[in-house]
Amino acid sequence: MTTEAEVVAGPGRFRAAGALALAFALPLAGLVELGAAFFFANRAPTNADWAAVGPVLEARRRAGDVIVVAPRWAEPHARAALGDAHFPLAELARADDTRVVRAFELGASGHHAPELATWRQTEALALPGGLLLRILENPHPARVVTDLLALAERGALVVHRSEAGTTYPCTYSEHAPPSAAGLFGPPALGRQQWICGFDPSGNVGLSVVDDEQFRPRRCLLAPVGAQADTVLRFDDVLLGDVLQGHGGVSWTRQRERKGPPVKLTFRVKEDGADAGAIVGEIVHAEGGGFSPFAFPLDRYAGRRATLTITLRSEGGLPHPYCLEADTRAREGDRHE
Amino acid sequence: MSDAPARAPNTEADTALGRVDGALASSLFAGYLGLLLGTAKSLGYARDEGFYFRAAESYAGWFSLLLRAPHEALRQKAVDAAWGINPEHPPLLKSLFGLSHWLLFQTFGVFSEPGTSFRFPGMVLSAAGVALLYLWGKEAISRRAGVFAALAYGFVPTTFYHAHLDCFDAPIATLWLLVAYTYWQSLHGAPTRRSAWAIATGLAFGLAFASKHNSWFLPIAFVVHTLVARGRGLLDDLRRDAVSLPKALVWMALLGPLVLVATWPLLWWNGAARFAFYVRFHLQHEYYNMEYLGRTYFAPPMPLGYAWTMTAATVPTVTLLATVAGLVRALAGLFDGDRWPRDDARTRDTTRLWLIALLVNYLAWFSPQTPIFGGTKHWLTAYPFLCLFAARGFEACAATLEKALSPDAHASVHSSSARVVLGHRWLSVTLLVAVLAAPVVESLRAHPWGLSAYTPLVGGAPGAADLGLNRGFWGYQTGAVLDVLNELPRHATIYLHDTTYESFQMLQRDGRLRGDLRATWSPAQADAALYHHEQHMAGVEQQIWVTMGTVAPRVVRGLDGVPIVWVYVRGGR
Repeated sequence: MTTEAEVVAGPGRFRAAGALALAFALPLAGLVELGAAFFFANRAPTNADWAAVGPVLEARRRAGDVIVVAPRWAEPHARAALGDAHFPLAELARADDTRVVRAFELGASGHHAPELATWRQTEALALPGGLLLRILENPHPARVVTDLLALAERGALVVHRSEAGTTYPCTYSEHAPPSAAGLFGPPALGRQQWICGFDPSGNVGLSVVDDEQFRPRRCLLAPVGAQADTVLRFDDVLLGDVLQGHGGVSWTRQRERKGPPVKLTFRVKEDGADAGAIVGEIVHAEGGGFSPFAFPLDRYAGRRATLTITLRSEGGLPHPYCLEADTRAREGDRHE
Repeated sequence: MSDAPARAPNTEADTALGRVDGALASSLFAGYLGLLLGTAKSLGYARDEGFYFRAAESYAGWFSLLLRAPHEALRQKAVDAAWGINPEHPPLLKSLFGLSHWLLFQTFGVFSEPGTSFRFPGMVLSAAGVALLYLWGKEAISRRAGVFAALAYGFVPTTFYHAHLDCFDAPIATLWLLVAYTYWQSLHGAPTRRSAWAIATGLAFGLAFASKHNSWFLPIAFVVHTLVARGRGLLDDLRRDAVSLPKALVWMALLGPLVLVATWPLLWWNGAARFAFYVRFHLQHEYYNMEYLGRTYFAPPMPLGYAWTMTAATVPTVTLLATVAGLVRALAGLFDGDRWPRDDARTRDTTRLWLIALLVNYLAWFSPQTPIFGGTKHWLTAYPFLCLFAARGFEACAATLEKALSPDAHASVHSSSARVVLGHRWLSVTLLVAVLAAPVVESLRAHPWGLSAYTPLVGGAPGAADLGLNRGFWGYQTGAVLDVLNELPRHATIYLHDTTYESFQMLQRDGRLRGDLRATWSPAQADAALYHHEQHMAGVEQQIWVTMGTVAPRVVRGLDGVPIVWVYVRGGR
């Protein structure tokens, strides 16, 4: 019969000492784990800590400054504590950071936002709960001339369906019934909608979709009918050097790559011209996420014109599609 | 460890030990069951519980009909109507859930909440698993090792969570363990009782077979064990045409299907087709979403490291360290060596059985086709064996310390000196406390967020969120925001998100949620919306923002600063 102790100890003082050290290691490891469990459990800021940030932000934030929470998973605490005023949907679900001039990074437990790593820090402030507020400036902010989502939000958009040469106008309403189908459903619509028929899933309106990283992206939901084009017309748009934007559908819908491609045609029509000139075309195949696009507007830069976007389902099947776009100055240009 | 191949039964010493062991096993059972009952109220109802409530009530209704009108109950129409609900899982546990509700809530009023009465059989079986681990650990290793195995298993945070539910995962872990234990007894128990243990193995397998499809792995494990245990001897037997199967395997083949059919009236008509449907459902299971290291997997290939990484991230590290120590010690004991004397035959065979049981329960996750949506619950059946190895590591550690700290370092660890024995007991208790404190604290602190619990090895829940590990699933977290929901205006409508309607109803039937509150499946129609975070569900929160006009939740609740469930109220805070 061999006991555990005899086996572990064995002959030799050195081996016995090693076995003893290993035997002590287990309870020691248990106590270290216990301490670590309490350490990790008590690192995060409390609700009161998050709420205490409010007055600090109010004293410093200007319109257009965005709040970035690091780590990103802690953001719901910040939204709950600070409220909608500090997280306008347009900023929270912005398409990218290119147009942001200044960001207020709220870092918890030593976290920083990786997307702001190259931004210039102008101020840092330690706050209760281990929160660190850093004010950061974008070294190369884009100069947006016209934001098409902002125009849509003001109702400055005309929508119609075009089917077999016939045009069916969509009716603008600020009191439409909101729609949302829950998980795996199409993107939601709020009260502001362009009503294109009896089926609310064909309506156009501002929405938010999740991109390939499941991040929120605000966009204009413009579903495409089976045999019908969806046409979005923005009148009297001040154009920049570039038409730039993103498009796609929710990642949970497009990740299986089962939906048909959607073709977008961008036309610019100046007063007096007979037909709009095509300035860009893209075909969005599923699986690309919330895809960026950009077209030069060289000869139209600085002028006012009608911008039309035509969406067509390449596979002839109905399909939701969401896009955002702006016209902006070429990088480095600052013309008004 | 003792090298006696088989214990001599019914000696005075064994009887005395039996009383102590019986008392200890009973105490562990009662203590764990009491803890589960005492902590159940703060736990919301998971998605699958909702489905099983419905099935359990339907089955219990059939049992009631069987008593009142047996002829009518035994007609196919009545059987199909009652048992046709949730045919993708065998019936035993759902029957127990339903009978418990019928008898302990509706008939005798033992429980004040229907939900707890449904959950009670699962809790009993989970507590039985803890007690059984004690018994096996004690018999195979030592008494303190048995206590360690039992508590180490009961206080894996995910085990503690699943042990509360009217689901199958913790009960099947107990039944899997029971079948393995009876099989072991049929091989190594008192010779006069081995045949009885073999029959018990068949019966226990039948119960497991009638509970969940994890039972399909039991025959695989025992056949592999037989092959490995017999080794060359099996080849010799084959040459002599004298191969004999372990009796337990024969009884499993006989009794397993019998118990399944006896407990599953749905199989009494078109049994083959219906059984085939059940098998096909699991072999061709659809894929759900699961986040792992920042990526949501929804289709094969699944990451092969998932099961191992998640085990490392969710089982207390000290338990895993003890497991590694126990495995090293046990594997060394399989072979002759200068430094490590070979274990006796029974211990070697026990090591082989535990190792095979442990690996077989992880077997499915060696394939990239195996879904990972269930998180750790799908290999919960491996944890009892993991904890038995941990107990072996704990025992090796305790014995070494005992010897080193003994007044006479050369004295036998089994010295009968009263002072030494007392010292050893204190050492055992001190060691148990030192090693089990972290698992106990982690499990209790994680409640009621068991599916979001991660160990300090990955930085706890915040570290897991940084790594992009799943934050929870099943929508059970609604139970943690009932106070907020109960403050909503009368007849308010709530978007339930991932909580099933049956689970929502059960909260109302319990009296934990106001009865006038209504459920909806569209955030657009809701006065308040629940959001249970999973990476692929981000779109749901965005729908809430768009239709409810706010991005600011009224409340965010979670574990250690990590948001897990939050509530939006129309128009903002």
